Amino acid sequence: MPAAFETERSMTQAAKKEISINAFYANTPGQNWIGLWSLPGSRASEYASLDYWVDVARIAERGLFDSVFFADTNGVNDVYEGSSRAAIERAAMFPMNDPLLLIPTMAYVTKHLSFGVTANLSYEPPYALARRFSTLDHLTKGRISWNIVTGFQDSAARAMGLDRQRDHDMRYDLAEEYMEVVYKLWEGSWQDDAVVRDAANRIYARGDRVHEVSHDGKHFKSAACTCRSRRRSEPPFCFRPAVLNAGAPLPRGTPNVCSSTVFRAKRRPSGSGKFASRRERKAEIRGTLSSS
Amino acid sequence: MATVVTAPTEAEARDKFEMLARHVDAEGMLALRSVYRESIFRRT
Repeated sequence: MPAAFETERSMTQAAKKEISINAFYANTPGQNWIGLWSLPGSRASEYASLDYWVDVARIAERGLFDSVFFADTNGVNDVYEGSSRAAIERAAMFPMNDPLLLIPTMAYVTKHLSFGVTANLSYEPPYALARRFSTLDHLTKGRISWNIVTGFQDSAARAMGLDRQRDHDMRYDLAEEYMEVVYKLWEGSWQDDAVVRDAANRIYARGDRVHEVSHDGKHFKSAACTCRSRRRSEPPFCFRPAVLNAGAPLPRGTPNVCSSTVFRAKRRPSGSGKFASRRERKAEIRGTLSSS
Repeated sequence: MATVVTAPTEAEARDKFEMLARHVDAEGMLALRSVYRESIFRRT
C-alpha cells in the first residue's frame, strides 16, 4: 500500500473514538440483579475471598476492560414490606463489605485496570476520606477514582447513629462543602518539590513546602497537613452518579457519570505519563498469551 | 495458548438471557427497588 494511504489510514484510526468498557461490581453476593448468585457456576458467593477478587481483576485486565466499578451501601434495604427480611434472605445488595479494601490487591495483580469506588461522604469527616483516597492514589499509581454519593438508606443513617438520613438537598449542600475541603487538602498541603529525601542532612521533606490547610465553613471545620496526593495538580478523579443530579453542584464541575456505563480516569497518568491505549494493551496481552 | 472468543448466535444469546432471567429473584428485586423508589425518586 502506498505510504500516503498508510498515513491517511492511521490518521483516520487515530481520530476514531475508543469505546471504554467497565465492569459493574459490588462487594456482595447479590449486586443489582438479585439472585444470580444461585446461577450454576456463579462464584458470587465467594465475594468475601481475596482469591475471587484477584480473579476478577485478572480476567478484566486480560479482557481489556478499562475499569471495574464498585457500588456500595452502608445499610440494608428495609423498605419493602417494612422489613429487611427479603433483602437478607435474597442477598439484595446485602451483606455488603467495604469495596475500598479490595483495591490494593486488585491493583497489585494488574497494570492497566482502573478502579471506580463508591464512597459515602455523609458519615465521616472530609479529612478521613481524603486521606484514604490519597493513600489509594499512591498504591494504585493513579488508577483510583471516587464515585461521590450521599446515601439513600435510612438504615445506613441509623447505623451511624442518626434517626434517619438528612434531606436530599441538605445532603448535597453538605457534599458541596465537603468536596471543597477535600480538594483543599489534596492540593493545598504538599508542594510537588516538598519531598527531598536528603539522607546526608537527615531531611525527608522541606518544612516550608508543606502547609497546614485550614477550612472553617458552614458545615465543616478542618486544619491539617494532609498526606499528599501524588501530584498536587492531579488529585484522584472524582465523579458522581448521573441519576442523583438533582442536588447542588459539586465543586469544579465534578462530572456526572452513569455508573452502569463507563468512566475512565483519563486525566490520571499511571506512572509513565499516560494510560496505555487499548491497542497497546492488546499487543502486550497478546504477547503474554503467546509466550505462555 | 490464546482463547478464541466468538460472538454468540441470536439463539445462544436468547437462551443465556432466559437462563439468567430464571435466576433473578423477584422478591429480592422488590426489596432493592423499594428502597430506591422511596429514597431517590421521591427525593425524601
